Amino acid sequence: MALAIDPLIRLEGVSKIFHTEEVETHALSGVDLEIRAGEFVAIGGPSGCGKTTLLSILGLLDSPSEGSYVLAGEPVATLSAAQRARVRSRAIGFIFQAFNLIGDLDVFQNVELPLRYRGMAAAERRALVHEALGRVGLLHRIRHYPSQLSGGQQQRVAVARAVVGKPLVLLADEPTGNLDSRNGAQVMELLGELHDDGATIAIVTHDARYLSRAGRHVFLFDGRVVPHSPLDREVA
Amino acid sequence: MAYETPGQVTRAFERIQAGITAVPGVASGALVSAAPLEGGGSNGLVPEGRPIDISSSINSLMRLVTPDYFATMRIELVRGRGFGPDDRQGAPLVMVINETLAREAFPGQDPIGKRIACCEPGPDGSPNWKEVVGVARDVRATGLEEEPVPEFYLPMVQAPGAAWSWTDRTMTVVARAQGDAIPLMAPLRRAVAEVDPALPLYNLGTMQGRLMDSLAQSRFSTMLLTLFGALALAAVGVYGVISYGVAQRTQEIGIRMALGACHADVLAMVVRHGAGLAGIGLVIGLAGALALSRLVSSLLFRVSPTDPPTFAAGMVVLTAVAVLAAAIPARRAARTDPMVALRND
Repeated sequence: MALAIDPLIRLEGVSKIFHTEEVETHALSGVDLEIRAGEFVAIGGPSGCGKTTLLSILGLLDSPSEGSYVLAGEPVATLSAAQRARVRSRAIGFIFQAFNLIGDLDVFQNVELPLRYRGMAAAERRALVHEALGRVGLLHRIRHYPSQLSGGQQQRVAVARAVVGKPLVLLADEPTGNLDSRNGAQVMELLGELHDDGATIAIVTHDARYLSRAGRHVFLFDGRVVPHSPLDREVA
Repeated sequence: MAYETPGQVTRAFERIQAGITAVPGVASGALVSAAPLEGGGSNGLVPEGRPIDISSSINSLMRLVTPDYFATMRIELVRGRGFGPDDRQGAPLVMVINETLAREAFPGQDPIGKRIACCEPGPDGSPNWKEVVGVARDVRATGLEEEPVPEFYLPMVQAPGAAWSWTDRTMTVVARAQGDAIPLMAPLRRAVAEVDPALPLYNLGTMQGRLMDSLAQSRFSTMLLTLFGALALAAVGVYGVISYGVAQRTQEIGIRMALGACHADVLAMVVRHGAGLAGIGLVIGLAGALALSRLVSSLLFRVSPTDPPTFAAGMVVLTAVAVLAAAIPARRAARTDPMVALRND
């Protein structure tokens, strides 16, 4: 999953302003950030500091109000909604706090979803889904529905869905937030293994126990990247 | 046989009347220039006491009848009498008017014995007066939806000479059957043929059938209204169900968009869902329609109750309506912000 282009992600002067009833909210202000291919970056900061907004811009779910975003050498800050969807399906894997599996679809169908949106052939999809589920140890649950799985299993299915298309970067938003410590540790172990295999990962987490997995910590405060954090010292 | 004079025409019709009343199974029979619901020719009538000019005339429908007409059609005479054998050519000219004409011609008065000028001038150009001898109940002359109009009846044998050209020398045979009317059709044809085999007897049917025919237009309109009402209901139903479904699936749609679904994917997914619901509805509806098709067979004309092209057309129209109804919520779904995938509530 590692890519020769370095840095894989470059944000320069990225700001995000939300307008609501004549009130301007500056969620991000002049964020500069680089993530190299194969890096495992943890994004931290207090509630409301802009972590989720940053993740949504990194994942092309939203566009910055100002600044540039270059992903794998391509400027993507001003892409249309359709173009962003296309890049998302090919380059980005999401892991959400609430798993976000689709209840009407079984494990196989959930995992193959990003591949469907790429227009990939059924045989190729099938092979990749089996490979991804094998990696998270859930091949035996392939025809089960999310409601038939434990929370930890559901998040492992979500990890399989995130990695099935071999994206350039995995973005995880509090992936252990809805799990007990044992299942949380398992998921983080899984992310660690993926990183060891070359995956580029950016994770938002509050849990200091799992920060040691990340090679670099980025801290946000009031929408800005700050150089040092008390959390950094705690981890150290 | 030649019918060059009014007398020849009248005599032929009298023989036909005699022939049809002699048919076994016929309780009574008569002739009329235009049966109820058939309309009829109109004339300007001037009641006695009003100036003889067009502004005083009352436009009324004329019916030439044989004496048994009122009894055969069970049209009640509310005042006076009907026609009898004495009301012949050369006898005093008489007429029966309906209640509407009585009210218009003689408001607040007893019309019996009063005179009305009609149809053609007398021999010296003076008004051709006819005495009102009876008042008949109103009959709907042109259709069940139409209000009764002024009408007057003349004995066929006293018909003005010009009347035969007004009616094209055509009379309607009316017969009251003792039992089922349908078996009488052939004997009635034979009775007319015995008078003159060259006389065409056409458009045979029961009065009940005529009534149904007169309602056909309104029934058709009602059916169309029902059809469009059902279509509108189907569209609103599909729209409501799909809208509700889209609202319930906002989070799912956001997740799909986060995973790479574009607007077209979401649009197609929702419309497909709507089409699927419509498909289930169509299968159930098709089965129901086939099961109930016998009930509507009497409402159909020249089309079978299970006509495949009709069923196919109905399915196509309903599918189109369902897809259109699903398209609105589908467009709304396609505008879902994929950021909802990151919200955990």
